[in-house]
Amino acid sequence: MKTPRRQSGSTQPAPSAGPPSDEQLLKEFLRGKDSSFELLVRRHAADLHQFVLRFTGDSVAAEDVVQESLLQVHSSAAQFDPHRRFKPWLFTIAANKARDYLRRRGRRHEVPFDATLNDENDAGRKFLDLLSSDEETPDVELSNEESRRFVKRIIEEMPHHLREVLILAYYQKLPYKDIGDVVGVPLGTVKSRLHAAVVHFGERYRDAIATRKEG
Amino acid sequence: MQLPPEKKGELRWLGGVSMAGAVGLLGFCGSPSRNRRENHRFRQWQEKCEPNVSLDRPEEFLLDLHLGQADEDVRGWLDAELRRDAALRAKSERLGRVLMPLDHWSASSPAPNLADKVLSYIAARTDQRNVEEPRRGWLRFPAGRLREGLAIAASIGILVVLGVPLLSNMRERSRQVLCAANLEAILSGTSAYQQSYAGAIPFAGATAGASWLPVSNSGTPFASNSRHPYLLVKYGFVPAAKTFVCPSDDRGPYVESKARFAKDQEGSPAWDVRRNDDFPSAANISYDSLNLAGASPNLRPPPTVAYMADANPLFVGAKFNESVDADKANSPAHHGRGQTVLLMDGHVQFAKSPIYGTGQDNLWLIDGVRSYRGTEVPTRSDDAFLVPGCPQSSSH
Repeated sequence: MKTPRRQSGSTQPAPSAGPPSDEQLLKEFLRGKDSSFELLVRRHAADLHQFVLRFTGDSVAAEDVVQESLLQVHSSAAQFDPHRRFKPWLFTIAANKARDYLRRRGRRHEVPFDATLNDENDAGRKFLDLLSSDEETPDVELSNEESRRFVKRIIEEMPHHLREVLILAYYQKLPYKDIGDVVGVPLGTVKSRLHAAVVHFGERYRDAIATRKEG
Repeated sequence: MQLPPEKKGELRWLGGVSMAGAVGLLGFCGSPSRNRRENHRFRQWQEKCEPNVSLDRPEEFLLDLHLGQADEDVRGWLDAELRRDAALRAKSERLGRVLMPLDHWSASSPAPNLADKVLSYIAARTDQRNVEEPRRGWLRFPAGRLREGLAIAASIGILVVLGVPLLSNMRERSRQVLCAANLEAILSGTSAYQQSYAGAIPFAGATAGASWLPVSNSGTPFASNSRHPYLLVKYGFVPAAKTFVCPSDDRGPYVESKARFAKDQEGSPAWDVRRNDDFPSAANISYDSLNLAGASPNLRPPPTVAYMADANPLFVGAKFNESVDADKANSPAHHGRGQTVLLMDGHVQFAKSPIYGTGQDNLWLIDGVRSYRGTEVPTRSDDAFLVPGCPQSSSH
């Protein structure tokens, strides 16, 4: 039987066929080929910007964080372990800088999170409760723009540690293993945080719609 | 996303599956006749990779499926389960409906010239670093006149005499600010941890009858109190391990944590944050924290209680020093001028006395206890007793 694996769980660089992998480009840059670094920037700047923008909710800060993150990649390239994958490393740097930004800004307007719901050991049970619940989201006609505003607000008010795994998994589509590397937690914690984030989102969204319906 | 017509039929019964979920479902081509084989393969995978996951709970994998994180073995198994079990299908549909609104939040696109701006920024910053500082001549006086030169030298002398103590004070003040910033970062991590663990502060478990001070005699077990705050580092709630070192602390060589992506190097003193359960050395944990030993540790302290502060002066070298006046002594960290204290209500303050708060509690003592062997524990939840971490029995 072949070894089962989670999708894209591999941490090895892609083989050399086709366009050069990120890891190859970084290696070339370290050998003095500046155009390889430029290619890396062009390949990842937009993706990184989307991640940081969703994480910080601030487009100016997102640009700054992207610049600083890629500058750090440029200056710390020699410290990169070529046996690992480049993208999680890049996102780790960006996530750290985004967290620093949020800390400096003193952002504290997350809503208090129901403690029992937040317990990571309890996240699995709450998630199963959510799936089994008969309580449906109220039937309200929402424009996409209105729904977008609800989603944006709920995610921005989510505790950092849930928000970042949700963004990395849902929007950036990073494999769990890479998310674990970026956030610095074991795989099991990534999954329990994701379950907690989905429950958090589902309940807040349902409440927002219900409030809108009453209003 | 455009799906081939034959796949759309497969997806219909899964209801409002989001785009990411649809990607995960592309492997759903198995027929019911594959059920037994898929289950067998899945069991083998499960035993090897996720022994704690119950095969009786396929719904635990639904999120993996919707996020496109399930591999082909899991997808094959879930395919068979979803075909077989209508209740599971209903759950999958419900999850799809919960996730669907997330697709409405498309982050605005970056400026089209973002990559160019980044490259220009990096070029400018690296050029700046490469520019050599212009060489300055040694004592090159303006206009080269001796009298003016002597006047300047005298002024410098006066400034040095007056300025050295001032500079020293300023340096200590800046260290206090950095120390407070450390405790604020720890506070932020602790809050996130509490949100994840039903309001409980980090607790790494207790050993019955254990001492929180290293014991050289008998069979008394030892359990360092620093194991508890270490959870904040281990699970990434406080990303930088160095946050736990006060800038005024000079107790010994700090052990660097292994860079997350750096190669392991034989003989390197680096320690792997996630593979360990405590700080590698006393030099890596300057701050003393709430004693959590005993049968009923204070896991949800009231807001007025101190959670962490600079080192307790009663314990030097991981031993109790009874000659210290516990009512007056400040932490040695800031030259005895006071200690930075993190309170459970989220305040970080520099206290010039160990007696703090409206309850006039002493940071360094259990109420009514003046001598310590390492097995004493506070009995009241509002009695802060901050004790040193003694990782790996090393000296504090």
